[in-house]
Amino acid sequence: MGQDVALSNPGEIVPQNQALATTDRVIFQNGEVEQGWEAVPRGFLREERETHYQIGRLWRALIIAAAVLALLNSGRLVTMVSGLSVGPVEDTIIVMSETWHEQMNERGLAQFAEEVRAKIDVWRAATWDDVEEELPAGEREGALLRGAQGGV
Amino acid sequence: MLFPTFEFGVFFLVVFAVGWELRRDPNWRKLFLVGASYFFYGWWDWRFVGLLVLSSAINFSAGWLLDRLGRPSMRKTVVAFAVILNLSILGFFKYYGFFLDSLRVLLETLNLERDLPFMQVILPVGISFFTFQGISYVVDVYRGHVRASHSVLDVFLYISFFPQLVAGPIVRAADFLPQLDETPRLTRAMGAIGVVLILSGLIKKMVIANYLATELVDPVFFDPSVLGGADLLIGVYGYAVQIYCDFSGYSDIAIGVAALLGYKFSENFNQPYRASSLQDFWRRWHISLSTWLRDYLYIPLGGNRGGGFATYRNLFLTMFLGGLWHGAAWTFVFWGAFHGAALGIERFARQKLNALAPPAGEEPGYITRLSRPLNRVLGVIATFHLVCFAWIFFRAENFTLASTYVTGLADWSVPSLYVTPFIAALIAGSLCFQFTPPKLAEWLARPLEYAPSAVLGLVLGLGIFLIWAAAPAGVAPFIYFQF
Repeated sequence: MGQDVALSNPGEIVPQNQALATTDRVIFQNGEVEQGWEAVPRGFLREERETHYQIGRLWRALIIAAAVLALLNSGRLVTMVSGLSVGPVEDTIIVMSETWHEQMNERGLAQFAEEVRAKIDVWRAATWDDVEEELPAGEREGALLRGAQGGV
Repeated sequence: MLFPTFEFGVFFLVVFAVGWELRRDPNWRKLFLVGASYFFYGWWDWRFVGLLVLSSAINFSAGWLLDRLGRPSMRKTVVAFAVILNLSILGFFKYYGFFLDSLRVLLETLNLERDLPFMQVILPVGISFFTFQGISYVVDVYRGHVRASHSVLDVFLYISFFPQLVAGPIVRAADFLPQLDETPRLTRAMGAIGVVLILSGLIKKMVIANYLATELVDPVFFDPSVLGGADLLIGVYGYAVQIYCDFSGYSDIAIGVAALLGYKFSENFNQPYRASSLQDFWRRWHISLSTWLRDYLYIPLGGNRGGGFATYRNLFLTMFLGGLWHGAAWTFVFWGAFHGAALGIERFARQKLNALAPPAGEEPGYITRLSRPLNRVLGVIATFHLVCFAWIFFRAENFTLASTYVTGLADWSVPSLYVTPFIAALIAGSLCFQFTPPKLAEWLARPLEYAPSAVLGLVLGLGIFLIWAAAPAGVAPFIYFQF
């Protein structure tokens, strides 16, 4: 069932504690509903507020993510912008990126990417013998046997 | 413009900011998203933007006409004409060269050599996907499954919306158009799942698929004749994982990006390698294509309504044409035909086995109950290997290489060159993820729903940083771009 919600003027926002269903009517204190105004379901307002809040939250998150990448991944930034065509704007972007990368290098932030890459390269280069050395003695025999059977 | 690039990052930031700023004015928002989608598509080649406009205009006009025509015969003519136009565009760009090459070989075989017209036709990226979306719109309007849109912008946005434009998922008009009528919303759940899907898609594509491609699959498939059975076996397992991670990674990013813009797409992959039958596999693999083929090809052909032979024929034809859709080469045709034939055999075997089962309501015996889990395990292993066998033809450049590959699988005398612990771990780890709880992404997204923006930003930023740092250098195109 719908209910009537009394508001003092058309510009007033529906109070949060007053639930408006789709059948509700908004009646202003002078007893009239101004032309062009309509009752809005409470759910709609809640969704609108939620969307507004989430856009702000995600926008801030995206900016933080971009900042993290600019700080830690400045080397990649230089690689990316170096592919730009020749021109005054492009040249400025390239110079700015290189200066930024130098700054990050001096502060040691650009090293993280190289450390991750070095770790991955160690894993990539690992052989089955390296894996066997890492294993405890008991498991090593089994691994050796499996290796021989598999021809690897 | 590829998803895992700096350009796309900047592009998405702009689209996110402006798109949501325009949310109170739906028409401006749609116009902006259409413009952004055309810019995204034109980044590859501006000349093909015209093709996208033409495809959208054909389908909008057909829908508009169907809405106004009452006579069934006229409506049938319009829908047939629209489908033929769509398929003609696809056929010209995708199959012209294939048709001429095949004709040339046929004439040579018959000693009737002729000078055939030569024309190099460039394949526009994503043409198979947006053509199928267009056909889906027209047919759905004809069938009454969706109301014909009176807004040009809606249809243009439906066909060109950038997250799914070049490699799917193939979004249905009935799923997408109603979302355009509503005020766009962004919820906690959509934001969190969007971030998780983007990260999981990037890991799948940039780390797993790219390493497997460069360090195993490309060299193994380049010349299989010099390799032994171990390399070839791991090579095809690797390709199974690579194509899954490549394509489902793209789908994950597309669904995640769409979610951040307020739109919901259905899932396109559901752990396909845990399927215990081929029928089950096709319910989990490229779901948007398999359901499209079912609804717009298998069922119009008669589906399973015509009895035994007609059902097998329809099944085979559907998969055969599904194979051809993937690419203009006989290897793709064989891949589709193999799946069609195998699905038919599986259906036949299931019917025979069902006839032997105890009558409904009767308590199954101990042996039956004990054998069920074993049957399932055997089913998963058998299905995976059948799918892998078919992948050899899907990946190989030609039949000669594919047959060399298949025969080489029996030769285990040559020591392995490519099976390293790193590659083995990538394959084994990826296959293990096929057996995790099905809604893992939603479960991972739950803590992010209420996380502050700083935490969300750090998760996203550090996640992308680690993926970029761990991934091989360069950005490889997605496999499904060629289709």
